[in-house]
Amino acid sequence: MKPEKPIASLPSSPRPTPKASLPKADSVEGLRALQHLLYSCITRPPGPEDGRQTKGDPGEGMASLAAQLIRPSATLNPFDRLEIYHRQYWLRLREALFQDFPGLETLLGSERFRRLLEAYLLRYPPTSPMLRELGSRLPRFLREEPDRAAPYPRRLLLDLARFEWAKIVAFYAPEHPLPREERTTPQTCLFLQPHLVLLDLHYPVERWTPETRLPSALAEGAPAGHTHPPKSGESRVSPARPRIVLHRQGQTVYHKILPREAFFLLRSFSKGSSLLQACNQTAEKFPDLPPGHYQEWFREWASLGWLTTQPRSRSRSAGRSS
Amino acid sequence: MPSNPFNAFSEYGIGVGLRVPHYDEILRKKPVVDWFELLAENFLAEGGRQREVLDQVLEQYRVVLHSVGLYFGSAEPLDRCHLRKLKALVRRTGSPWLSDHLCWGSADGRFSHDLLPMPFTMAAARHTAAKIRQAADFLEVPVSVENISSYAEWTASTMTEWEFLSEVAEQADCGILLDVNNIYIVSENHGFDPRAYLNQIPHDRVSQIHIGGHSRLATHILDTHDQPVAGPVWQLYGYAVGKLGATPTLLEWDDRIPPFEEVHREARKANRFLAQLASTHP
Ligand SMILES: [Fe+2]
Repeated sequence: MKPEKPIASLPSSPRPTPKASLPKADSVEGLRALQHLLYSCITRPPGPEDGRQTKGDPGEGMASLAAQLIRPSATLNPFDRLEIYHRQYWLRLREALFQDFPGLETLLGSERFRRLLEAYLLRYPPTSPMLRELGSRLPRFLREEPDRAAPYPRRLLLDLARFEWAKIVAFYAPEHPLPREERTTPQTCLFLQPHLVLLDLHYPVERWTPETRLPSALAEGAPAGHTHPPKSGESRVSPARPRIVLHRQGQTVYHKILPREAFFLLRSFSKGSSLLQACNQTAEKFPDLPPGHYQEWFREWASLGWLTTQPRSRSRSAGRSS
Repeated sequence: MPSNPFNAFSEYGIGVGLRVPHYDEILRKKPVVDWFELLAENFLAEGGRQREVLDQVLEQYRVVLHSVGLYFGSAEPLDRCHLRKLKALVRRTGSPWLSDHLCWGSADGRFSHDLLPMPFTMAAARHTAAKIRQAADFLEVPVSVENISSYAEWTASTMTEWEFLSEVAEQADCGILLDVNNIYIVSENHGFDPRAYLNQIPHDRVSQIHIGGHSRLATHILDTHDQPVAGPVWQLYGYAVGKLGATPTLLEWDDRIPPFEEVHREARKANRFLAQLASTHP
C-alpha cells in the first residue's frame, strides 16, 4: 500500500462564519474552500438520532451555517437539506463496513459495532475512490484502540478484523502467472501470489460462525494454551496458535492452517526468495525438520499455484493486512 | 444514422445495468439484450468473480462503462492512478464511450462516496470542463457527463443547473448522459419546470439517456433506483426523445432488484416512445 498523502486537517465541528467570508466558488481556490467547508459539514460526527430519525436538533451553529450555504426549498429548511447528505454519508459507509466485517458485527452487536465504525471513520476517513478499500485500516485502528474491545480480549477483535479484511484482499487481488517448471531452478527468485495472505493469529477465528459467537466457545475449540482467552492486552506466543493462509481458487477464497515450520517457509517468499535460500533459512530455524516435509509442501503449493516469479506490484488497491 | 455528432451509437437501443443478482441468469440463459452498462469501479480489481463474469459477458454482449469515481467537479486534480485503471478497462471492454457524473465528491484527498451537487458558477464550470477534457484525452474515448439528482442548492450558485451543464459540455466539448429521472427529481425538489431544463440544453450533445425509479417522501424525492420508472418520468422521457431523436437508453435498477426479466421488461417500455418517434420521423 502506498503511504497515505498528508491530509490537511478538517474541523470536526464546522463553525458558522460571517456571510461576507463564505467561499464563493468564483475561482478554483474559492471552489476548493467551499468544498472543504461543505465536506466538513457532511462528514461531521453523526448525531445520536442519526439514521433513525428524519429531523435532528440542528444546534444553533450548524443551523445558521446551513442557512448561509443552502437555499430552503418549499418543504425543507437549509439544515434539513444538509442533513439528507449528512445521514447518507454515514449510512452508506456503515453499510459497506457491516458487509465487509459480518463476524465483528455478530461478536459486538450492531449498536456497539456501529459506534466502533463511527470512531474508525472519524480517525480514518475514506482516502480511496474505491468503496471496498474502506476497511483497510480497521485492523490498525483496533491496534491503536485496545480499550474498545472490552470485555473481549483485544486480540480476539483484532484477529477477527484481520481475518475478515484478508478475505477481501484475497478475493480482489490479481493472480500472477505460474512459474514455468522447465525454467525454475533452486536459485530462481519466487514470490507469493498477490491473493495470498498469511496470518499469524492468536484465536481460531477461522472457525467463527454466528453459532459460535461467544469468545468462550471460540476458546473451547482453541489450540492448547488457549482453554481460556488471554486477558485484554496479553500477548501469549504459543507454538500451537493458528497460522493461516488465505488464498483464492477460481472465484472462491479458501483458508488453510499451516504447521508453523511450513508457515515460516512460505513467509520467506513474501519479499522474494529462491527455493534454496528459503529452505536454508527454515532449516536453520528448525534443524530437526525432515527433508521430506519440504518436498511435500512445495508439491502442494505448486499444485495450488501459490508461488510466482512475478514480484507483487505496489498498487494501492490490494491493501495488505498481515 | 446517428441523431447527433456525440451519438454515433444511436442504434444501440435499450440497455440494462449489469448487476450482481443477475449474473447467473444472464450467463446461463444468455437473454437477448441490446447492451449492458457496467459500473466501472466494480470491475477494476484484477481478480475475483467480477473479472470472470466480465470476460463471459464480453463474449456475448456490447458493454458501455459508467464510472462513479472521477468526480470531475472536485477542486482537486484527477486521480491519475484511478484513470490508469479505467483506461485499461476501457481497452479490455471496447467501451465506445465512458460516462461519469457532473458532481464533486472529494476534498483534501478524502472521499464522501456520494455524488454531491456543484455550486453552479462559471469558475466551477471552467474547472470541471478542463478535468473532463483531460480525462477524455487520457482515456482516448469520448466522455459523457451525467446530470445528478440533488437535495440541496448552494447559495453560491450564480446560474441554473441546465445553464451549468450546457456550459461544462460546451467548454469540455463532451457528450451529455441525460438522466431523465434525475431531471424530474431535481425539478420537484427544487421547484422548476423540467421541460425548461430539457429545452435549454444542447440537444446535439446528448449521447445516452438514463431512466430509473425513485421514492417520493413527504418532503422530497429520493433517487433510489429500487422500483419501476414513475409515470411522470416516462412522460418526460417521451418529451426528451421527441427533442433528441433516437438515443441509447438505459434503465438503472440498483436496489431491491427483481428478476432480470422484470428489469428488462421495464427497460423495454422505452421502445414505445422510440417506435412513436420512428413513425413521426421516419
Ligand atoms: Fe443515472
